[in-house]
Amino acid sequence: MIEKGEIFFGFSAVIFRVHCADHTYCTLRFPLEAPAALIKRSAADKLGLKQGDLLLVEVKSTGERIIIPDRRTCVATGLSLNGALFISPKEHLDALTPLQEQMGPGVMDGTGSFLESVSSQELAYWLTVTDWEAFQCIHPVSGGSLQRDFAAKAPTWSFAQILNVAFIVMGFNHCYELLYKVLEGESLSGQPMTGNLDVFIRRTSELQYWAATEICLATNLSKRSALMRKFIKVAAYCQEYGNVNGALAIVSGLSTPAISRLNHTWEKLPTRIRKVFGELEGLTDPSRNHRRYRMYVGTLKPPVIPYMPILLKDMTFSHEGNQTLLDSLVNFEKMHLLAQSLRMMRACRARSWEIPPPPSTKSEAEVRSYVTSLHVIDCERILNQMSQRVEPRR
Amino acid sequence: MPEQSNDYRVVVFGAGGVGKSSLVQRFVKGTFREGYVPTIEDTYTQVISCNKNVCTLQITDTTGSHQFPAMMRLNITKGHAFILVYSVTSRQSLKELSAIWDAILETKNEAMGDIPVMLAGNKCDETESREVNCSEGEEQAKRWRCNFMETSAKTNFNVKELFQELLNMEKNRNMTLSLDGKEKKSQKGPHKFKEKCCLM
Repeated sequence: MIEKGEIFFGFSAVIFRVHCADHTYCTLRFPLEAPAALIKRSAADKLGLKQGDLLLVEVKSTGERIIIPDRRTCVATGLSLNGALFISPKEHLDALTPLQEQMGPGVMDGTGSFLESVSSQELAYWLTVTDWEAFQCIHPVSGGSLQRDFAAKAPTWSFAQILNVAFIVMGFNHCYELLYKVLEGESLSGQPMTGNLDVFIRRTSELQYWAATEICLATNLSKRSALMRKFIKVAAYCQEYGNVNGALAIVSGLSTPAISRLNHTWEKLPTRIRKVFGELEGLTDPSRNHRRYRMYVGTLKPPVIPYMPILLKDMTFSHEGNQTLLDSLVNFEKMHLLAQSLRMMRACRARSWEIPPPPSTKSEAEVRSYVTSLHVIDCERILNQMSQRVEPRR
Repeated sequence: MPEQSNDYRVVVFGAGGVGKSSLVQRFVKGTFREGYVPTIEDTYTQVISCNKNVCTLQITDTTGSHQFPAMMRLNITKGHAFILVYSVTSRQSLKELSAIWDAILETKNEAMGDIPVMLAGNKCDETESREVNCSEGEEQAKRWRCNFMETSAKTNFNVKELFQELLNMEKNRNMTLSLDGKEKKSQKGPHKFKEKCCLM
Protein backbone atom coordinates (compact mmCIF):
# COMPACT_ATOMS: atom_id res chain seq x y z
CA MET A 1 0.00 0.00 0.00
CA ILE A 2 3.04 2.19 -0.23
CA GLU A 3 2.69 4.72 -3.02
CA LYS A 4 5.58 5.12 -5.39
CA GLY A 5 6.79 8.47 -6.61
CA GLU A 6 5.83 10.29 -3.43
CA ILE A 7 8.45 11.81 -1.17
CA PHE A 8 8.45 10.43 2.35
CA PHE A 9 9.41 12.32 5.43
CA GLY A 10 9.71 10.96 8.91
CA PHE A 11 6.23 12.23 9.66
CA SER A 12 4.65 10.77 6.51
CA ALA A 13 1.91 8.33 7.42
CA VAL A 14 1.87 4.94 5.76
CA ILE A 15 -0.84 2.31 5.92
CA PHE A 16 0.09 -1.31 6.45
CA ARG A 17 -1.20 -4.58 7.84
CA VAL A 18 -0.02 -6.54 10.84
CA HIS A 19 -0.95 -10.22 10.77
CA CYS A 20 -1.42 -12.92 13.40
CA ALA A 21 -0.42 -16.56 13.07
CA ASP A 22 -3.97 -17.41 11.87
CA HIS A 23 -3.61 -14.77 9.10
CA THR A 24 -6.17 -12.40 10.57
CA TYR A 25 -4.89 -8.88 10.43
CA CYS A 26 -5.43 -5.32 11.48
CA THR A 27 -4.59 -2.33 9.34
CA LEU A 28 -2.60 0.43 10.96
CA ARG A 29 -1.61 3.93 9.97
CA PHE A 30 1.61 5.28 11.41
CA PRO A 31 4.25 7.82 10.48
CA LEU A 32 7.46 6.27 9.18
CA GLU A 33 9.38 7.50 12.21
CA ALA A 34 7.21 5.46 14.58
CA PRO A 35 9.42 2.88 16.27
CA ALA A 36 8.57 -0.83 16.04
CA ALA A 37 7.70 -0.94 19.75
CA LEU A 38 4.85 1.52 19.24
CA ILE A 39 3.49 -0.38 16.24
CA LYS A 40 3.66 -3.59 18.24
CA ARG A 41 1.68 -2.12 21.12
CA SER A 42 -0.99 -0.74 18.87
CA ALA A 43 -1.32 -3.97 16.87
CA ALA A 44 -1.55 -6.05 20.04
CA ASP A 45 -4.28 -3.78 21.32
CA LYS A 46 -6.29 -4.02 18.09
CA LEU A 47 -5.85 -7.75 17.71
CA GLY A 48 -6.66 -8.40 21.36
CA LEU A 49 -3.30 -9.98 22.19
CA LYS A 50 -1.94 -9.82 25.71
CA GLN A 51 0.87 -7.26 25.92
CA GLY A 52 4.12 -8.69 27.14
CA ASP A 53 6.47 -11.05 25.37
CA LEU A 54 5.34 -10.13 21.89
CA LEU A 55 7.55 -9.86 18.83
CA LEU A 56 7.08 -7.90 15.64
CA VAL A 57 8.31 -10.13 12.85
CA GLU A 58 8.76 -9.96 9.11
CA VAL A 59 7.83 -13.24 7.44
CA LYS A 60 9.33 -13.53 3.97
CA SER A 61 7.71 -15.46 1.16
CA THR A 62 10.38 -18.11 1.71
CA GLY A 63 9.05 -18.61 5.23
CA GLU A 64 12.10 -17.00 6.80
CA ARG A 65 11.29 -14.98 9.94
CA ILE A 66 13.14 -11.83 10.88
CA ILE A 67 12.54 -10.25 14.26
CA ILE A 68 12.24 -6.48 14.07
CA PRO A 69 14.02 -4.72 16.94
CA ASP A 70 11.90 -2.40 19.07
CA ARG A 71 13.81 0.71 18.07
CA ARG A 72 13.64 0.20 14.31
CA THR A 73 11.84 2.90 12.36
CA CYS A 74 10.55 2.78 8.77
CA VAL A 75 9.16 -0.66 9.49
CA ALA A 76 6.65 -0.72 6.63
CA THR A 77 9.04 0.45 3.92
CA GLY A 78 11.87 -1.73 5.21
CA LEU A 79 10.15 -5.05 4.45
CA SER A 80 11.51 -7.27 1.71
CA LEU A 81 9.61 -7.29 -1.58
CA ASN A 82 6.81 -9.73 -0.75
CA GLY A 83 7.48 -9.68 2.98
CA ALA A 84 4.63 -9.24 5.46
CA LEU A 85 4.50 -8.01 9.05
CA PHE A 86 3.38 -10.38 11.78
CA ILE A 87 2.99 -10.13 15.51
CA SER A 88 3.41 -13.15 17.72
CA PRO A 89 4.20 -14.21 21.29
CA LYS A 90 7.87 -15.10 21.62
CA GLU A 91 7.21 -18.78 22.20
CA HIS A 92 4.93 -19.21 19.17
CA LEU A 93 7.27 -17.79 16.57
CA ASP A 94 7.39 -21.16 14.78
CA ALA A 95 3.68 -20.96 14.01
CA LEU A 96 4.10 -18.02 11.62
CA THR A 97 3.68 -18.97 7.96
CA PRO A 98 3.63 -16.75 4.86
CA LEU A 99 0.28 -15.58 3.49
CA GLN A 100 -1.07 -16.91 0.22
CA GLU A 101 -0.69 -13.48 -1.38
CA GLN A 102 3.01 -13.39 -0.54
CA MET A 103 3.61 -16.24 -2.96
CA GLY A 104 3.01 -13.91 -5.89
CA PRO A 105 1.11 -14.60 -9.10
CA GLY A 106 -0.09 -18.11 -9.89
CA VAL A 107 0.26 -20.14 -13.08
CA MET A 108 -2.67 -18.37 -14.74
CA ASP A 109 -1.62 -14.87 -13.77
CA GLY A 110 1.27 -14.26 -16.16
CA THR A 111 1.10 -10.95 -18.02
CA GLY A 112 2.93 -12.26 -21.08
CA SER A 113 0.15 -11.36 -23.49
CA PHE A 114 0.06 -7.77 -22.24
CA LEU A 115 3.84 -7.52 -22.58
CA GLU A 116 3.62 -8.83 -26.13
CA SER A 117 1.27 -6.01 -27.04
CA VAL A 118 3.50 -3.18 -25.80
CA SER A 119 6.67 -2.06 -27.54
CA SER A 120 9.90 -2.62 -25.62
CA GLN A 121 10.85 1.02 -25.95
CA GLU A 122 7.56 2.17 -24.50
CA LEU A 123 7.86 -0.20 -21.56
CA ALA A 124 11.42 0.95 -20.91
CA TYR A 125 10.35 4.57 -21.12
CA TRP A 126 7.61 4.29 -18.50
CA LEU A 127 9.74 2.06 -16.32
CA THR A 128 12.41 4.74 -16.35
CA VAL A 129 9.91 7.51 -15.62
CA THR A 130 8.75 5.57 -12.55
CA ASP A 131 12.28 4.67 -11.45
CA TRP A 132 13.50 8.21 -11.90
CA GLU A 133 10.67 9.50 -9.72
CA ALA A 134 11.60 7.05 -6.99
CA PHE A 135 15.30 7.81 -7.41
CA GLN A 136 14.74 11.53 -7.07
CA CYS A 137 12.83 11.03 -3.85
CA ILE A 138 15.83 9.58 -2.03
CA HIS A 139 17.01 11.66 0.92
CA PRO A 140 15.39 15.01 0.39
CA VAL A 141 15.46 15.33 4.18
CA SER A 142 17.11 18.56 5.15
CA GLY A 143 19.94 18.16 7.58
CA GLY A 144 18.67 20.91 9.85
CA SER A 145 16.36 18.97 12.12
CA LEU A 146 18.75 16.06 12.30
CA GLN A 147 21.62 18.31 13.21
CA ARG A 148 19.59 19.78 16.03
CA ASP A 149 18.66 16.28 17.07
CA PHE A 150 22.25 15.23 17.26
CA ALA A 151 23.56 18.41 18.79
CA ALA A 152 21.20 18.05 21.71
CA LYS A 153 22.67 14.71 22.55
CA ALA A 154 26.32 15.73 22.86
CA PRO A 155 28.83 15.20 24.48
CA THR A 156 28.85 11.41 24.04
CA TRP A 157 29.22 11.44 20.31
CA SER A 158 27.70 8.64 18.35
CA PHE A 159 28.98 7.63 14.99
CA ALA A 160 26.17 9.47 13.30
CA GLN A 161 27.04 12.67 15.09
CA ILE A 162 30.62 12.46 14.01
CA LEU A 163 29.51 11.84 10.47
CA ASN A 164 27.14 14.70 10.69
CA VAL A 165 29.81 17.16 11.74
CA ALA A 166 32.29 15.73 9.29
CA PHE A 167 29.88 16.07 6.40
CA ILE A 168 28.93 19.61 7.28
CA VAL A 169 32.63 20.41 7.12
CA MET A 170 32.70 18.84 3.66
CA GLY A 171 29.55 20.56 2.52
CA PHE A 172 27.13 17.64 2.56
CA ASN A 173 24.03 18.07 4.60
CA HIS A 174 21.37 16.12 2.84
CA CYS A 175 22.57 12.59 2.31
CA TYR A 176 21.24 10.84 5.34
CA GLU A 177 19.21 8.06 3.82
CA LEU A 178 22.14 6.28 2.23
CA LEU A 179 24.21 6.72 5.36
CA TYR A 180 21.45 5.46 7.59
CA LYS A 181 21.02 2.41 5.42
CA VAL A 182 24.69 1.60 5.69
CA LEU A 183 24.66 2.26 9.42
CA GLU A 184 21.66 0.01 10.05
CA GLY A 185 22.28 -1.88 13.26
CA GLU A 186 24.54 0.78 14.78
CA SER A 187 22.85 2.44 17.68
CA LEU A 188 21.88 5.84 16.42
CA SER A 189 20.46 8.77 18.21
CA GLY A 190 17.58 10.44 16.44
CA GLN A 191 15.23 8.50 14.21
CA PRO A 192 16.84 7.14 11.09
CA MET A 193 14.73 7.78 8.05
CA THR A 194 15.32 5.54 5.05
CA GLY A 195 11.80 5.35 3.59
CA ASN A 196 12.57 6.70 0.13
CA LEU A 197 15.69 4.64 -0.30
CA ASP A 198 13.77 1.58 0.90
CA VAL A 199 11.17 2.13 -1.81
CA PHE A 200 13.89 2.43 -4.42
CA ILE A 201 15.68 -0.72 -3.26
CA ARG A 202 12.42 -2.64 -3.32
CA ARG A 203 11.81 -1.37 -6.81
CA THR A 204 15.19 -2.69 -7.90
CA SER A 205 14.45 -6.18 -6.63
CA GLU A 206 10.94 -5.95 -8.07
CA LEU A 207 12.37 -5.41 -11.57
CA GLN A 208 14.75 -8.29 -11.07
CA TYR A 209 12.03 -10.76 -10.02
CA TRP A 210 9.62 -9.38 -12.60
CA ALA A 211 11.74 -10.70 -15.47
CA ALA A 212 12.27 -14.07 -13.78
CA THR A 213 8.59 -14.43 -12.80
CA GLU A 214 7.12 -13.66 -16.19
CA ILE A 215 9.48 -16.01 -18.00
CA CYS A 216 8.80 -18.87 -15.58
CA LEU A 217 5.06 -18.29 -15.94
CA ALA A 218 5.20 -18.74 -19.72
CA THR A 219 4.75 -22.46 -20.30
CA ASN A 220 5.02 -22.33 -24.08
CA LEU A 221 8.60 -22.42 -25.36
CA SER A 222 8.25 -19.90 -28.18
CA LYS A 223 6.26 -17.52 -25.98
CA ARG A 224 8.93 -17.84 -23.32
CA SER A 225 11.65 -17.10 -25.79
CA ALA A 226 9.74 -14.09 -27.13
CA LEU A 227 9.41 -12.79 -23.57
CA MET A 228 13.09 -13.26 -22.94
CA ARG A 229 13.82 -11.26 -26.07
CA LYS A 230 11.41 -8.60 -24.87
CA PHE A 231 13.11 -8.28 -21.48
CA ILE A 232 16.55 -8.01 -23.05
CA LYS A 233 15.30 -5.29 -25.35
CA VAL A 234 13.63 -3.47 -22.46
CA ALA A 235 16.90 -3.63 -20.53
CA ALA A 236 18.80 -2.24 -23.53
CA TYR A 237 16.34 0.64 -23.89
CA CYS A 238 16.56 1.34 -20.15
CA GLN A 239 20.31 1.59 -20.54
CA GLU A 240 19.84 4.02 -23.41
CA TYR A 241 17.56 6.12 -21.23
CA GLY A 242 20.24 6.32 -18.53
CA ASN A 243 18.39 3.88 -16.27
CA VAL A 244 21.41 1.71 -15.53
CA ASN A 245 19.77 0.45 -12.36
CA GLY A 246 16.70 -0.79 -14.22
CA ALA A 247 18.74 -2.34 -17.02
CA LEU A 248 21.06 -4.23 -14.70
CA ALA A 249 18.19 -5.28 -12.41
CA ILE A 250 16.43 -6.94 -15.35
CA VAL A 251 19.69 -8.48 -16.58
CA SER A 252 20.47 -9.91 -13.15
CA GLY A 253 16.93 -11.29 -13.08
CA LEU A 254 17.68 -13.09 -16.34
CA SER A 255 20.96 -14.38 -14.88
CA THR A 256 19.37 -16.06 -11.86
CA PRO A 257 19.71 -19.87 -11.82
CA ALA A 258 16.00 -20.38 -12.53
CA ILE A 259 16.29 -18.51 -15.82
CA SER A 260 19.86 -19.15 -16.93
CA ARG A 261 19.24 -22.91 -16.93
CA LEU A 262 16.48 -22.62 -19.57
CA ASN A 263 18.72 -23.73 -22.43
CA HIS A 264 15.97 -24.26 -25.00
CA THR A 265 14.69 -20.76 -24.44
CA TRP A 266 18.11 -19.18 -24.78
CA GLU A 267 18.86 -21.22 -27.91
CA LYS A 268 15.83 -19.80 -29.67
CA LEU A 269 17.07 -16.21 -29.28
CA PRO A 270 18.52 -14.49 -32.34
CA THR A 271 22.32 -14.03 -32.15
CA ARG A 272 21.94 -10.26 -32.19
CA ILE A 273 19.79 -10.28 -29.05
CA ARG A 274 22.16 -12.68 -27.32
CA LYS A 275 25.00 -10.30 -28.07
CA VAL A 276 23.05 -7.41 -26.54
CA PHE A 277 22.47 -9.50 -23.44
CA GLY A 278 26.14 -10.50 -23.28
CA GLU A 279 27.20 -6.86 -23.31
CA LEU A 280 24.75 -5.90 -20.58
CA GLU A 281 25.66 -8.92 -18.50
CA GLY A 282 29.31 -7.94 -18.79
CA LEU A 283 28.53 -4.81 -16.79
CA THR A 284 27.51 -6.94 -13.83
CA ASP A 285 30.89 -8.70 -13.85
CA PRO A 286 32.25 -8.29 -10.31
CA SER A 287 35.91 -8.89 -11.18
CA ARG A 288 38.46 -6.22 -10.27
CA ASN A 289 35.92 -4.52 -8.05
CA HIS A 290 33.28 -4.07 -10.78
CA ARG A 291 35.76 -2.43 -13.06
CA ARG A 292 33.68 -2.73 -16.20
CA TYR A 293 30.65 -1.19 -14.56
CA ARG A 294 32.68 1.68 -13.10
CA MET A 295 34.41 2.42 -16.41
CA TYR A 296 31.05 2.46 -18.15
CA VAL A 297 29.25 4.66 -15.62
CA GLY A 298 32.22 7.04 -15.65
CA THR A 299 31.53 7.79 -19.32
CA LEU A 300 27.86 8.68 -18.78
CA LYS A 301 26.44 12.17 -18.52
CA PRO A 302 23.60 12.95 -16.12
CA PRO A 303 20.74 12.22 -15.74
CA VAL A 304 21.70 8.66 -14.79
CA ILE A 305 20.21 6.18 -12.35
CA PRO A 306 23.26 4.25 -11.07
CA TYR A 307 23.06 0.61 -10.06
CA MET A 308 22.07 0.98 -6.43
CA PRO A 309 23.35 -2.37 -5.11
CA ILE A 310 26.92 -1.44 -6.08
CA LEU A 311 26.63 2.04 -4.57
CA LEU A 312 25.37 0.61 -1.29
CA LYS A 313 28.02 -2.09 -1.34
CA ASP A 314 30.74 0.54 -1.73
CA MET A 315 29.41 2.53 1.19
CA THR A 316 29.08 -0.53 3.39
CA PHE A 317 32.67 -1.50 2.67
CA SER A 318 33.93 2.03 3.31
CA HIS A 319 32.12 2.00 6.60
CA GLU A 320 32.95 -1.45 7.84
CA GLY A 321 36.51 -1.53 6.63
CA ASN A 322 37.56 1.73 8.25
CA GLN A 323 37.53 3.04 11.79
CA THR A 324 35.62 6.20 12.48
CA LEU A 325 37.92 7.41 15.21
CA LEU A 326 41.69 7.04 15.32
CA ASP A 327 43.18 8.03 18.68
CA SER A 328 39.98 10.00 19.30
CA LEU A 329 40.46 11.94 16.08
CA VAL A 330 37.84 11.77 13.34
CA ASN A 331 39.07 9.65 10.45
CA PHE A 332 38.51 12.05 7.60
CA GLU A 333 39.95 9.59 5.11
CA LYS A 334 36.90 7.44 5.76
CA MET A 335 34.55 10.40 5.50
CA HIS A 336 36.05 11.18 2.11
CA LEU A 337 35.44 7.62 0.97
CA LEU A 338 31.80 7.79 2.00
CA ALA A 339 31.48 11.26 0.53
CA GLN A 340 32.74 9.97 -2.79
CA SER A 341 29.73 7.69 -3.11
CA LEU A 342 27.40 10.50 -2.13
CA ARG A 343 29.04 12.81 -4.63
CA MET A 344 28.46 10.24 -7.33
CA MET A 345 24.81 10.11 -6.36
CA ARG A 346 24.59 13.89 -6.58
CA ALA A 347 26.32 13.98 -9.96
CA CYS A 348 23.83 11.47 -11.36
CA ARG A 349 20.96 13.75 -10.49
CA ALA A 350 22.62 16.99 -11.57
CA ARG A 351 20.13 17.23 -14.40
CA SER A 352 16.53 16.13 -14.36
CA TRP A 353 15.25 13.41 -16.64
CA GLU A 354 13.13 14.94 -19.38
CA ILE A 355 12.75 12.87 -22.50
CA PRO A 356 9.57 12.88 -24.59
CA PRO A 357 7.71 9.56 -24.74
CA PRO A 358 8.26 7.27 -27.74
CA PRO A 359 5.49 6.59 -30.26
CA SER A 360 2.91 4.63 -28.33
CA THR A 361 1.32 1.31 -29.08
CA LYS A 362 -0.88 1.30 -26.00
CA SER A 363 -2.55 3.94 -23.92
CA GLU A 364 -0.12 5.75 -21.66
CA ALA A 365 -2.23 5.21 -18.55
CA GLU A 366 -2.39 1.47 -19.18
CA VAL A 367 1.37 1.04 -19.51
CA ARG A 368 2.04 3.34 -16.55
CA SER A 369 -0.32 1.51 -14.28
CA TYR A 370 1.24 -1.77 -15.38
CA VAL A 371 4.82 -0.75 -14.60
CA THR A 372 3.86 0.68 -11.22
CA SER A 373 2.01 -2.41 -10.05
CA LEU A 374 4.11 -5.41 -10.95
CA HIS A 375 3.24 -8.66 -9.20
CA VAL A 376 6.17 -10.97 -8.79
CA ILE A 377 7.36 -14.16 -7.15
CA ASP A 378 10.32 -13.28 -4.92
CA CYS A 379 10.98 -16.79 -3.66
CA GLU A 380 13.87 -18.48 -5.48
CA ARG A 381 12.63 -21.90 -4.46
CA ILE A 382 9.28 -21.41 -6.20
CA LEU A 383 10.98 -19.94 -9.26
CA ASN A 384 13.31 -22.91 -9.45
CA GLN A 385 10.41 -25.35 -9.21
CA MET A 386 8.55 -23.53 -11.97
CA SER A 387 11.67 -23.45 -14.10
CA GLN A 388 12.05 -27.23 -13.68
CA ARG A 389 8.45 -27.68 -14.69
CA VAL A 390 8.65 -25.69 -17.93
CA GLU A 391 11.96 -27.25 -18.97
CA PRO A 392 12.57 -30.48 -17.04
CA ARG A 393 16.13 -31.60 -16.68
CA ARG A 394 17.05 -34.33 -19.12
CA MET B 1 -4.00 -21.40 -5.99
CA PRO B 2 -6.03 -23.68 -3.76
CA GLU B 3 -9.04 -22.02 -2.18
CA GLN B 4 -9.45 -22.50 1.53
CA SER B 5 -12.97 -23.78 1.37
CA ASN B 6 -13.18 -24.12 5.12
CA ASP B 7 -13.39 -20.38 5.59
CA TYR B 8 -16.64 -18.49 5.48
CA ARG B 9 -15.99 -14.84 4.85
CA VAL B 10 -18.36 -12.15 6.03
CA VAL B 11 -17.69 -8.54 5.08
CA VAL B 12 -19.19 -5.65 7.03
CA PHE B 13 -19.81 -2.45 5.06
CA GLY B 14 -21.26 0.92 5.96
CA ALA B 15 -20.58 4.63 6.23
CA GLY B 16 -18.07 6.00 8.72
CA GLY B 17 -19.06 5.99 12.39
CA VAL B 18 -22.21 3.84 12.11
CA GLY B 19 -20.74 1.23 14.42
CA LYS B 20 -19.36 -1.49 12.17
CA SER B 21 -16.37 -2.14 14.40
CA SER B 22 -18.51 -1.94 17.51
CA LEU B 23 -20.90 -4.58 16.14
CA VAL B 24 -18.07 -6.88 15.14
CA GLN B 25 -16.21 -6.43 18.40
CA ARG B 26 -19.37 -6.98 20.42
CA PHE B 27 -19.96 -10.17 18.49
CA VAL B 28 -16.40 -11.50 18.58
CA LYS B 29 -15.14 -10.29 21.94
CA GLY B 30 -18.32 -9.34 23.74
CA THR B 31 -16.96 -5.91 24.52
CA PHE B 32 -18.03 -2.37 23.72
CA ARG B 33 -15.85 0.72 23.62
CA GLU B 34 -17.10 4.26 23.84
CA GLY B 35 -15.19 6.64 21.60
CA TYR B 36 -14.49 6.47 17.91
CA VAL B 37 -11.35 5.04 16.35
CA PRO B 38 -11.66 5.01 12.55
CA THR B 39 -10.94 1.59 11.09
CA ILE B 40 -8.89 1.06 7.97
CA GLU B 41 -9.45 -2.66 7.71
CA ASP B 42 -9.35 -5.37 10.35
CA THR B 43 -10.24 -9.03 10.32
CA TYR B 44 -11.51 -11.30 13.04
CA THR B 45 -12.10 -15.01 13.17
CA GLN B 46 -14.61 -17.07 15.05
CA VAL B 47 -14.90 -20.82 15.03
CA ILE B 48 -18.39 -21.97 14.15
CA SER B 49 -20.07 -25.21 13.23
CA CYS B 50 -20.78 -25.82 9.58
CA ASN B 51 -22.39 -28.96 8.16
CA LYS B 52 -21.59 -30.63 11.49
CA ASN B 53 -17.95 -29.71 11.03
CA VAL B 54 -15.83 -26.95 12.44
CA CYS B 55 -15.18 -24.01 10.18
CA THR B 56 -13.78 -20.53 10.57
CA LEU B 57 -15.99 -17.53 10.26
CA GLN B 58 -13.78 -14.76 8.95
CA ILE B 59 -15.17 -11.30 9.53
CA THR B 60 -13.70 -8.35 7.67
CA ASP B 61 -14.40 -5.00 9.24
CA THR B 62 -13.96 -2.38 6.52
CA THR B 63 -13.36 1.34 6.43
CA GLY B 64 -16.27 3.74 6.37
CA SER B 65 -14.45 6.32 4.31
CA HIS B 66 -14.26 5.98 0.56
CA GLN B 67 -10.52 6.35 0.35
CA PHE B 68 -9.88 2.84 -0.91
CA PRO B 69 -12.31 1.81 -3.66
CA ALA B 70 -9.96 -0.94 -4.83
CA MET B 71 -10.04 -2.55 -1.42
CA MET B 72 -13.83 -2.49 -1.40
CA ARG B 73 -13.99 -4.35 -4.72
CA LEU B 74 -11.51 -6.92 -3.51
CA ASN B 75 -13.51 -7.49 -0.34
CA ILE B 76 -16.70 -7.96 -2.31
CA THR B 77 -15.00 -10.47 -4.59
CA LYS B 78 -13.66 -12.44 -1.66
CA GLY B 79 -16.74 -12.23 0.56
CA HIS B 80 -19.37 -14.96 0.88
CA ALA B 81 -21.88 -12.87 2.83
CA PHE B 82 -22.34 -9.21 3.66
CA ILE B 83 -23.67 -7.08 6.45
CA LEU B 84 -24.66 -3.55 5.46
CA VAL B 85 -24.75 -1.29 8.48
CA TYR B 86 -26.32 2.13 8.84
CA SER B 87 -27.07 4.17 11.90
CA VAL B 88 -30.69 4.88 12.77
CA THR B 89 -29.47 8.30 13.86
CA SER B 90 -28.35 9.24 10.35
CA ARG B 91 -30.47 9.05 7.21
CA GLN B 92 -27.38 9.86 5.19
CA SER B 93 -25.71 6.65 6.37
CA LEU B 94 -28.62 4.62 4.94
CA LYS B 95 -28.37 6.48 1.64
CA GLU B 96 -24.66 5.79 1.39
CA LEU B 97 -25.31 2.05 1.44
CA SER B 98 -26.87 2.24 -2.04
CA ALA B 99 -23.45 2.70 -3.64
CA ILE B 100 -22.14 -0.35 -1.80
CA TRP B 101 -25.19 -2.39 -2.71
CA ASP B 102 -24.69 -1.46 -6.37
CA ALA B 103 -21.04 -2.45 -6.16
CA ILE B 104 -21.97 -5.84 -4.69
CA LEU B 105 -24.58 -6.38 -7.40
CA GLU B 106 -22.11 -5.48 -10.09
CA THR B 107 -19.27 -7.62 -8.78
CA LYS B 108 -21.34 -10.68 -7.92
CA ASN B 109 -23.27 -10.81 -11.12
CA GLU B 110 -24.95 -14.04 -10.17
CA ALA B 111 -28.48 -14.20 -8.86
CA MET B 112 -28.32 -11.93 -5.84
CA GLY B 113 -30.83 -14.10 -4.04
CA ASP B 114 -28.11 -16.64 -3.39
CA ILE B 115 -25.84 -14.30 -1.51
CA PRO B 116 -26.71 -13.70 2.13
CA VAL B 117 -27.00 -9.99 2.90
CA MET B 118 -28.23 -8.47 6.14
CA LEU B 119 -29.22 -4.84 6.49
CA ALA B 120 -28.58 -3.64 10.03
CA GLY B 121 -29.86 -0.42 11.58
CA ASN B 122 -27.41 0.09 14.40
CA LYS B 123 -27.55 2.38 17.43
CA CYS B 124 -31.25 1.64 17.99
CA ASP B 125 -30.69 2.45 21.67
CA GLU B 126 -30.33 6.12 20.79
CA THR B 127 -34.07 6.87 20.71
CA GLU B 128 -33.56 10.59 21.18
CA SER B 129 -31.62 11.23 18.01
CA ARG B 130 -33.31 8.69 15.78
CA GLU B 131 -33.74 9.82 12.18
CA VAL B 132 -34.66 6.60 10.42
CA ASN B 133 -37.75 4.64 11.41
CA CYS B 134 -37.72 0.91 11.65
CA SER B 135 -40.23 0.69 8.80
CA GLU B 136 -37.93 2.60 6.48
CA GLY B 137 -35.21 0.07 7.07
CA GLU B 138 -37.66 -2.72 6.38
CA GLU B 139 -38.74 -1.16 3.14
CA GLN B 140 -35.20 -0.72 1.99
CA ALA B 141 -34.49 -4.35 2.83
CA LYS B 142 -37.54 -5.44 0.86
CA ARG B 143 -36.33 -3.47 -2.15
CA TRP B 144 -32.94 -5.10 -1.93
CA ARG B 145 -34.47 -8.47 -1.11
CA CYS B 146 -32.30 -8.97 1.95
CA ASN B 147 -33.16 -9.38 5.61
CA PHE B 148 -33.28 -6.61 8.14
CA MET B 149 -32.69 -6.10 11.85
CA GLU B 150 -32.24 -3.19 14.16
CA THR B 151 -29.29 -3.63 16.47
CA SER B 152 -27.36 -1.96 19.24
CA ALA B 153 -23.77 -2.88 19.83
CA LYS B 154 -23.85 -0.79 23.00
CA THR B 155 -26.67 -2.66 24.73
CA ASN B 156 -25.84 -5.93 22.96
CA PHE B 157 -29.22 -6.01 21.33
CA ASN B 158 -29.72 -8.36 18.36
CA VAL B 159 -25.97 -8.61 17.71
CA LYS B 160 -25.64 -12.37 17.84
CA GLU B 161 -29.03 -12.70 16.17
CA LEU B 162 -27.76 -10.57 13.28
CA PHE B 163 -24.89 -12.92 12.55
CA GLN B 164 -26.98 -16.05 13.12
CA GLU B 165 -29.64 -14.79 10.73
CA LEU B 166 -26.96 -14.08 8.13
CA LEU B 167 -25.60 -17.61 8.44
CA ASN B 168 -29.13 -19.03 8.23
CA MET B 169 -29.53 -17.33 4.87
CA GLU B 170 -26.67 -19.32 3.38
CA LYS B 171 -28.33 -22.17 1.53
CA ASN B 172 -25.19 -24.04 0.53
CA ARG B 173 -24.02 -24.68 4.05
CA ASN B 174 -25.70 -25.34 7.34
CA MET B 175 -24.03 -23.12 9.89
CA THR B 176 -24.64 -22.36 13.52
CA LEU B 177 -22.73 -20.04 15.79
CA SER B 178 -22.47 -22.17 18.87
CA LEU B 179 -20.15 -25.15 18.86
CA ASP B 180 -21.61 -26.39 22.09
CA GLY B 181 -23.81 -25.05 24.86
CA LYS B 182 -21.16 -22.99 26.59
CA GLU B 183 -21.73 -19.92 24.45
CA LYS B 184 -25.17 -19.38 25.91
CA LYS B 185 -24.67 -16.72 28.50
CA SER B 186 -27.51 -14.99 30.23
CA GLN B 187 -28.21 -11.90 28.20
CA LYS B 188 -28.68 -8.58 29.83
CA GLY B 189 -30.63 -5.63 28.55
CA PRO B 190 -34.13 -5.36 27.13
CA HIS B 191 -36.03 -8.31 25.78
CA LYS B 192 -34.70 -9.88 22.66
CA PHE B 193 -36.92 -9.59 19.67
CA LYS B 194 -36.30 -11.87 16.80
CA GLU B 195 -36.95 -9.43 14.02
CA LYS B 196 -39.15 -6.62 12.84
CA CYS B 197 -39.29 -4.88 16.13
CA CYS B 198 -39.93 -1.22 16.48
CA LEU B 199 -38.44 0.67 19.35
CA MET B 200 -39.73 4.17 19.57
